[in-house]
Amino acid sequence: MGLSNSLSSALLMVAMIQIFVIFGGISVGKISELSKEMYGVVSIDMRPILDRCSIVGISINPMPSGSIIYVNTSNNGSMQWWDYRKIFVILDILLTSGSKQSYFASVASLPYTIYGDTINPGIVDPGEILGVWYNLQGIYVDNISKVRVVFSTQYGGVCIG
Amino acid sequence: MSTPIVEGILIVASIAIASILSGVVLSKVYSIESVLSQIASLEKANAQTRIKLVYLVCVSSSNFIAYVKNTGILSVNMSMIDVLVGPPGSEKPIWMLGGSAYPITQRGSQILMQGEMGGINITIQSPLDTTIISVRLIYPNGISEYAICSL
Repeated sequence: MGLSNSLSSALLMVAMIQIFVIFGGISVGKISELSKEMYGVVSIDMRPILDRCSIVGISINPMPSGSIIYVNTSNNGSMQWWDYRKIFVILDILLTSGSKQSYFASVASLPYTIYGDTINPGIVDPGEILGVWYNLQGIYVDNISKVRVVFSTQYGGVCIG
Repeated sequence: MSTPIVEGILIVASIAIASILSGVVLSKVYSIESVLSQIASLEKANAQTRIKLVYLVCVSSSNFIAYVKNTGILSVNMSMIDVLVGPPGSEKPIWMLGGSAYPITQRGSQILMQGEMGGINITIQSPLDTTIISVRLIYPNGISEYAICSL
């Protein structure tokens, strides 16, 4: 009788430990999953703060069929390189007639060059300058009163010039 | 009836009752877990959706273009974005102003992929009697953002 009692107590203890281990494991797994997702959300919110740009130069040149707007933008954030398909240029043009025109395009669809391209060739790394030119067909320099250029980086950074 | 038989019957009955009860409890636990998982996945989608109103152009007093960028992890249908227009602080939904909003990306789609930018071309029936216009966007995850432009 004493032996069977001891055995049943031992078995009960083993069962309890097993249940504790299983529940503990599930809880730890859930907490780790949750913290991973929380980190993902926080990193999404940090991206626009870290991915910065500044427009360092804008010029408008006349063309026989219209004009070309040159925009130089510096990658002065601390994030990695820019994906050309995910960085965009917006033009807000006020014409001398008083009407407004607006265009947007991804840098991948425009002619571009990189100045100071020393870190990773062919890629706009932090500290390098991206030159983009936007061909405006039928809009002549004489007809342009004001141009505003907005540059949008891939993670939500915005710079206006 | 002899004692061993009674004991046997009681053991079988208690095992049967315990099995039924544990089955009921387990099924309830699973259904609660399923509901919690659905809520968690919805909240996760909301948390991973990020849209940024990059720039607003006032083309005229009845036509505006709002440029938005998907800075989150999930793709976003721009037709799910609610648009309100008006003087700052008194914006009204565009359907109340007899207006319409046509979202478009460079690919010609209404779906904003991760990192993509699109424009929402907003037109209202009657020009607004103000030179400073505010456009407020309400995103599918419930977050709203506004921008102001002047004519």
